[in-house]
Amino acid sequence: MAKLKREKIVPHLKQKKVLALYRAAGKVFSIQDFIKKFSSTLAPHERVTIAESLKLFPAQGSRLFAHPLTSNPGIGISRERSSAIAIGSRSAFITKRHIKLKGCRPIPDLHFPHEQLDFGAQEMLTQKIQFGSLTAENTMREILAFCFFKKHGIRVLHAPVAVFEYVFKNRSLGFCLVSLSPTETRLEADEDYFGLSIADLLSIRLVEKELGVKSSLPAEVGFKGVGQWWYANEKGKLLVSMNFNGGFRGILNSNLGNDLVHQRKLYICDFDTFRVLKMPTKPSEKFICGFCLWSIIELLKSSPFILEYADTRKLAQSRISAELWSIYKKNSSLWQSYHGYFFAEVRKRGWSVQKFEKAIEHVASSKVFSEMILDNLLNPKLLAETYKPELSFYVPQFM
Amino acid sequence: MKRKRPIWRKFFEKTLARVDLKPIEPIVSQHIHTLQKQSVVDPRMSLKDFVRARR
Repeated sequence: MAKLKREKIVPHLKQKKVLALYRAAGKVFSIQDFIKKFSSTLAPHERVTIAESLKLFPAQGSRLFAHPLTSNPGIGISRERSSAIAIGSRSAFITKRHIKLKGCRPIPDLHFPHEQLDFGAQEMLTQKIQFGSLTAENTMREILAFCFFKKHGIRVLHAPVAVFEYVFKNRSLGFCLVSLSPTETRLEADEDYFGLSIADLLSIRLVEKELGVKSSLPAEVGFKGVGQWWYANEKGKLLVSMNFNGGFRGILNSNLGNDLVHQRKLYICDFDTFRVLKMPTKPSEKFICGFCLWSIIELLKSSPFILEYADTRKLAQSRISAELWSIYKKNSSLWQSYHGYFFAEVRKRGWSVQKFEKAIEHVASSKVFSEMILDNLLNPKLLAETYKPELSFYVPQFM
Repeated sequence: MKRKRPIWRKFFEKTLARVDLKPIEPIVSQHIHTLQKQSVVDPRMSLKDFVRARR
């Protein structure tokens, strides 16, 4: 794939806080009708999970919308009365109605990179997707995740109620998932970095090392008003339950920005790259390796930042990820919680603890792991290899 | 604009009130300077903004 240039995409990412909504050309699908038309985008065993859960969606569909709504005036036909709050770069939340429109901002001919790690693969694949909306498969994967969470009794916050398909100049611009959501306030909004700059953190840790003392700076980033161990325990339990039933969010969705706390319960959201593995009763070594790689990569991507600085300048390339991994494991309360629940599940199933331990250490030697672990704590390689911060795709998900 | 007192000093003042940081400051400065030369990122950038820019 030709490399997508950050400079071309970044100017389109920012939205106004309050968005006007416009009527767009296209179609409104009920969830049942959408499933009938697009379930072939999923694997056969994933379709079974959906088929078992059809009763979760009304047969007549939702009467909430007569026509698609968009936040992009460029493809809008007429202005609607309602407005919405921007969520990230492509979604909106109609606060009064508790309705989330995920992917309601398609921009014709603008594409966005999509990173994927196939099961058993050691390297990520980058593809390009339409910017601002969802593909049919992305939308089906969101619906699949909802069915999967309900089936396994795992908490889920967003309930899909309809799908918009946008049509512009006789061509489909993709889909928007309409969900009911009690809140969109993300936990990320309360992340606490203690006002530190990069240099402050570096200085604290260097001075500590030189003097052989410890300051009162915590080991990892926390959230204001949320207990660190409560968070780690709830999230570790939730992720292990999802993973050991075969559910994985994929790299793009495994983002700390997708954590929410509602009525004192922790939720995760965003499942457009969600996949379900067929879980064997007796896993092969190949399966164990693939399973551990997916689990660890998603956990790293979703972990609070470790407030440490690893001076890896004198280390050989092959030693850098081992050093970062060791510091991460020692300091991440999420890792410690996840690890505990993970091995409790392995033992419960009568699987070999030794094989899983070996596979987890094997994961640390993969290329994808060495790329991902760089972002979990401050280190010279991360600072040297990063892009300019102003070219980041990051847009806050919270209001 | 004059920069506020670095927060890491506050941490140290709480826990290490009697420690003299002066002898260590050149080591820290040199380290930051080396990294500054190798990176497109300004070390004075807020850690929160940097971590989020990498998400």
